[in-house]
Amino acid sequence: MFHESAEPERAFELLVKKYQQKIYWQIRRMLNEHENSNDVMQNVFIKIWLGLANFRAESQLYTWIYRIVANETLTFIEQQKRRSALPLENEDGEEAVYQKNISSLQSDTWFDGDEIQLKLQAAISTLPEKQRIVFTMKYFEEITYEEMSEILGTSVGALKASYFHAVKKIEFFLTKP
Amino acid sequence: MSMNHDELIPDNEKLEIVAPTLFGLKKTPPFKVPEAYFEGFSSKLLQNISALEQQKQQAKVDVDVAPDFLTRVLQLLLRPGLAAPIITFVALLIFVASGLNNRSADHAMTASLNDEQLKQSLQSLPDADIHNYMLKHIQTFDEEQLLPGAQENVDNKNVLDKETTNSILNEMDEGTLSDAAF
Repeated sequence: MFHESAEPERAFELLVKKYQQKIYWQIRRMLNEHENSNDVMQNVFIKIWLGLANFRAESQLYTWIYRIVANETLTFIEQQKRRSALPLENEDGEEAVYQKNISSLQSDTWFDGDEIQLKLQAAISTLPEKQRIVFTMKYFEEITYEEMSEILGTSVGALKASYFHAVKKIEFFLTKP
Repeated sequence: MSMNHDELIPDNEKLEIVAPTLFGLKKTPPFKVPEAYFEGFSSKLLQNISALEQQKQQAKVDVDVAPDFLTRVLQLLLRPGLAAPIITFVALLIFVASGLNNRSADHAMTASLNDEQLKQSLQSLPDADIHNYMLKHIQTFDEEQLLPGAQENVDNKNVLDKETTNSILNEMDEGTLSDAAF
């Protein structure tokens, strides 16, 4: 359908321009670093290009695109986690990850936030990857639970619970002296 | 003691109560991007996709090359000018191969005859044929190999012992012996 159009490259370019900023910030909020975010976004759009031929508009285009974003970002985080030696299962592990993220963001020339923003981004990075994606979609993008359920293939109840746990944990780090 | 889960779920209107610090934050991204990053992203992406498509095409061409090559070789071999020499060459090859095959079959048959079969074959041959064969190839026989076998095959009943020979010689008169000698 899409590739059969007269100028598929031109149509795709318009689609990229429409969605690139939303997708980029969604990924960047979860990964923090520009280079990683750029790589993941490239992969997302390549998957979109390759998959557009089979896209049958059974779901909304943006739902389908966000599903690709979620999958690619989760895959990247899992790969990164396998390479990292830091434990994430207990509170000490979360604290270590939080402190590491604070240091990393402070030395990042592309970070442009104040202290509370620094804490927020560092806290987001301590979340388990599924909670992280639910939190960024709900808090920043304000996607409804029903839409998220379609994107992530998870029940609304489970999404609400994930968001609740994420919010509580982030609030803990934000209020921590 | 346990609370209703829905009461804890922070929809954005409840977020102020559950997480007041988070609720009060600005949602603008606290990050910078390289200059003109978004302006140039789509063109870089399309370049990468184009390179990817070329790689896929190249891989497809590489896969298709092998059948094309075989077809071309067959077409070349079946050209009228080349057909006659090629058929001659193939026929020659078949002839040489079948000759070698026959020789090896003969050798295999000879090698498979055991001593018993050989004896039976020789016994069925007529004496005249054996005699003629031996006369014809007399130079090629090795006496040292033939004589022991001949000694063994002599019928001892027909051989005179020493005593009988002497008595016969004594009965002969000297004149007869002299005539026989000269």
